[in-house]
Amino acid sequence: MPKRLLFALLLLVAAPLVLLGWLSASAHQQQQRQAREQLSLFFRSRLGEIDRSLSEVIDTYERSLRAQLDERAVTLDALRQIDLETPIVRSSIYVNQNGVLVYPLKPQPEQSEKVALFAALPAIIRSRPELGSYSLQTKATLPTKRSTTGKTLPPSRSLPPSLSQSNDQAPVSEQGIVGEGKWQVWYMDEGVQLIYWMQHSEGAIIGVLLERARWIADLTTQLPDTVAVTPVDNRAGEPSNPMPASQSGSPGSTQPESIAATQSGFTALTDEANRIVYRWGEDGRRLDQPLAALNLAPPLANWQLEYHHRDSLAGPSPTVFLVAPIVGTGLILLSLGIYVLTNVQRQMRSARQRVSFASQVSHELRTPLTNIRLYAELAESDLQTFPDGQTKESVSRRLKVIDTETRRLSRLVSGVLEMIRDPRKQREPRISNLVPDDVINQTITQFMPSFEKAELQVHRQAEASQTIGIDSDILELILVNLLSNVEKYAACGGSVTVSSKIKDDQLTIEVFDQGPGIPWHARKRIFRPFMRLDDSIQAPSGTGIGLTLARQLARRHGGDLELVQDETHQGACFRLQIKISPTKVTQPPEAPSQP
Amino acid sequence: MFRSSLITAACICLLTAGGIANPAPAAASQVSLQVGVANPTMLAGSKQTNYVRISLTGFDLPQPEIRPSVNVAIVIDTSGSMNGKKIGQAREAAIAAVKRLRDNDVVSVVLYNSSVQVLVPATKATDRQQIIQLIRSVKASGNTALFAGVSKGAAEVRKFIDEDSVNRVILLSDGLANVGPSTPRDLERLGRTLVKEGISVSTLGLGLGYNEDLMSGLAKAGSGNHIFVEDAENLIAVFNNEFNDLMSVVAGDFKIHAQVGPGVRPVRVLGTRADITGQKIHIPLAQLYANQQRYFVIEVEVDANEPGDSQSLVNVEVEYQNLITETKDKVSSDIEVRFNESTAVVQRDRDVQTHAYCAVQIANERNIQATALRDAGEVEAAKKLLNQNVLELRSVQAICLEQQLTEVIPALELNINLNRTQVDYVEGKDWNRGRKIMRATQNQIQSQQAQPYSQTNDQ
Repeated sequence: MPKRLLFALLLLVAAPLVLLGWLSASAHQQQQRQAREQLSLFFRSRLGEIDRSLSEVIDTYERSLRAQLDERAVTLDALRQIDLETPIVRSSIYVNQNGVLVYPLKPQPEQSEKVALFAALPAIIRSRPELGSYSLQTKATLPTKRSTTGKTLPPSRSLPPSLSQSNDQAPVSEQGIVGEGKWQVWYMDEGVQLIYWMQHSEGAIIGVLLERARWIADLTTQLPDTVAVTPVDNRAGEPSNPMPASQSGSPGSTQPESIAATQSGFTALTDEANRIVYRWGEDGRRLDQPLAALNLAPPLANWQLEYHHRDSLAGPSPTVFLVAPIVGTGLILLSLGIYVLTNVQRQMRSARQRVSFASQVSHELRTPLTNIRLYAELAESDLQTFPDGQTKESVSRRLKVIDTETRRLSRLVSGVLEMIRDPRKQREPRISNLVPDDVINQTITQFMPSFEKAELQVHRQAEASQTIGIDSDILELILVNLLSNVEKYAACGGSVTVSSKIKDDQLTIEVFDQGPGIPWHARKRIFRPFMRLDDSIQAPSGTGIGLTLARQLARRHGGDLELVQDETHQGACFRLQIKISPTKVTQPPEAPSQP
Repeated sequence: MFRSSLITAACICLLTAGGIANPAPAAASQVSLQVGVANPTMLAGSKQTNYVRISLTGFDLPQPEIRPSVNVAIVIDTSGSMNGKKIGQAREAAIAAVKRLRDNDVVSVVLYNSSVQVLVPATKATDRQQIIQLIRSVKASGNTALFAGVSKGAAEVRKFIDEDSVNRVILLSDGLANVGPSTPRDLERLGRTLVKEGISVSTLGLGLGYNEDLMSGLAKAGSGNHIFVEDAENLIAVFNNEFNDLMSVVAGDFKIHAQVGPGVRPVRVLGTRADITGQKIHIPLAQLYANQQRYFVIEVEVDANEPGDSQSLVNVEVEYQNLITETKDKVSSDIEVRFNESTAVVQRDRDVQTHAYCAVQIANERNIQATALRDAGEVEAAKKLLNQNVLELRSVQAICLEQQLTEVIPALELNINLNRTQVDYVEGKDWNRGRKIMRATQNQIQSQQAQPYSQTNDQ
């Protein structure tokens, strides 16, 4: 019992805690999500600024390439010089107005790298972006630095007729770059390659394949170093020295530690294959899901800037706020529960003491009772030797009363003992072979004197005359309880019917009186211990345990006792059903006699 | 401005073309250019291969205390693998190097692990004590973002880039690049673009864990030294040597243009990634040290010619920044070949010294092939190539000794020894170490660098 109580107490404490925990956790999650979204938005805008600074690098390339090609006469030598001297240029590409590749020249077969590039060029040129339909007519209307547009040679003659003899300084064209340039993205070698295409006057097209390693290096250079205060803060030009907080003790460190401490993440530039190209900030593991991510502006649209936060939580440690109320509530509930539990336990202990007291008293009553019965019987037998007479008869009658009352008292004591016995220690039914009707008749016989006195007639319908295995003590006890009830409450009915039959391995006994009956709604209540329907002074004396005991006994025997309804009669009808094994012949095991 | 051209058509002059092109009075402050050809007389009647050697020799520093200012970025790997003795030695080496700087030198220190930290942004080395203090605080942990480290180091150099100073990135690494671009080709390409700007890159590979292809490739493309530092103990000495080189640079920003004559096809430039477009060859070179002789070998294919013909083989123009006089100087030279039907005449006229230098470079190419073969597991084939190198170089050496050409003898001897000892590396169990030594020496031969790897107890 206390174990179950303890469990109930724990449940009582745990349930609200779980609820509280869940509520605060979900609230916290909500908060966190909001904070994360805000942070994400914040860092996205920062990444946007970084992206703009990177776009600036690409724009610079664009401007310098245009300027380089615009200011000099585009000869093959000039193109080669650009290739050799401009760090960012890997190779320039010149396609004349007829769509013929003029530069680069076909390389020597020994130069494997150039050969590979040359082989890839036709495909690159084919899929170059459209530069818009520029014609010489529109060129004339554009403000150009040259006024000699009309003097331009026909397009077919502006290029040397033979490519192999292009070693001289023959101009390919003397016109400038016109219109908008466009970027082409091409996958080759290590990954994305950038090619900038420009429209030259007279319809020629110049492309510049950038050196991938170089623009990666330039982008990297543009990005901040580690331990920058903010992701956008480019400290490259500052003489101050960014240092990790751990080294801040050395001279020259101007890094404000407090700001550095709030930067608990890192930013990374990732390439088209989602590999990190460069990262700065803290030394953290890369997560699957960055806090904020931003694709770079075209042409590097498949490159990404990612910001990874060290912990998924933002702000100061939230566990204290989350755990403290739960722990507090838990403590309060627990102390409350312990208080209730100890109270209940105290009451239970006192109840147990009372029961134990009753049990001891009952035990104490037994010995004198037995003695009284014994001496009453002895006195009775002694009386037989006396000569008949008035005195003998009256003494005999009084002795009988003593006998009857002691029996009644003894039954009561047995009942009480049976009642308060620990259910786990109750004895098993002791089955013996006998005829149920005999037991019933004997019991009725016991009651005959009092029934006669109350003018109660007993009707017997005995149909259980087979020998079956049954515990006669239990059967007798049940019957005694039922009959004494009839005697006490239904004597006014004038008659009681006791029927018995055996059917389908079941012994059924019905005790049916003609008394006032029991209200149907009370049919369950009457079996509860210490329950009396009429507890007034006028009511017949009783303990309220008779029916409880009878049902307990019946159940222990594998049967049941219940009140049945009979519309035709007004009295109460109790039906006892006991499962029996009619072929049982073995002697019941010798059980220790119960006190 | 001084220009030497070979007006005399006499073939005898061709043998000593360089000698003529090197006037004595100006030698003190001019880079001398020598162009030689292995076979000044070629066999007539069929297509022939010939080798041209372009040799540049740096002049002596006029006074030891006068030297061009240096603009150097020291890029140090501070990844986790550097922890312990290595980082300690790296710190000491960098500090020793900084101590040698003068007030008008520019220095920056860049650290890289998972990310990059510019420890000392490019600054005049006036307050060396503070820089040293900062270097002392360097610790190691994390990954290796080598590419970003070089990029940022170069960016620091770029801030004070000057054509009259020596601009260099010195990269120290002991591990494999694992953040950012990390193939040898990525780094080579980056190195090449840096040379276009006049920034050279030297790489110091520390221990046995670094990628020698990447490090030597970067140094080669970056026109700098590559040194295999097996033991961290030697790091200070290696840094010292590197700074010796750095402080003895006399000329920089070279533009070596060679144009082969008609009917001549430039096949390749041995050991250097030169640009060949049509008949034009461009060889990148960032700088030349005092008294350093640096040469390049061009393999050419010459079309069949009639006996008795002569034809222009190659015209070489070299433009460079003289860091002592702080002027842009130019030297040029050209060379012709004659044709003869007799192989004996061809043999007789052979320029043995040039031929020997070419043989060294050809052998080096085979040495690189041997490394590739060993990588593929073909130990025997690799050994065969190395032994072939030893034999061929020995025969060349014999002829040189006979003709008392002492200048080339040390180079030949060095190469014979290298190839002979490398047979053991190819066979040996510790291929990782052997391969690093081979790469370092290959780079040494190609760039005629003084010290390929810090010597431990062998070699």
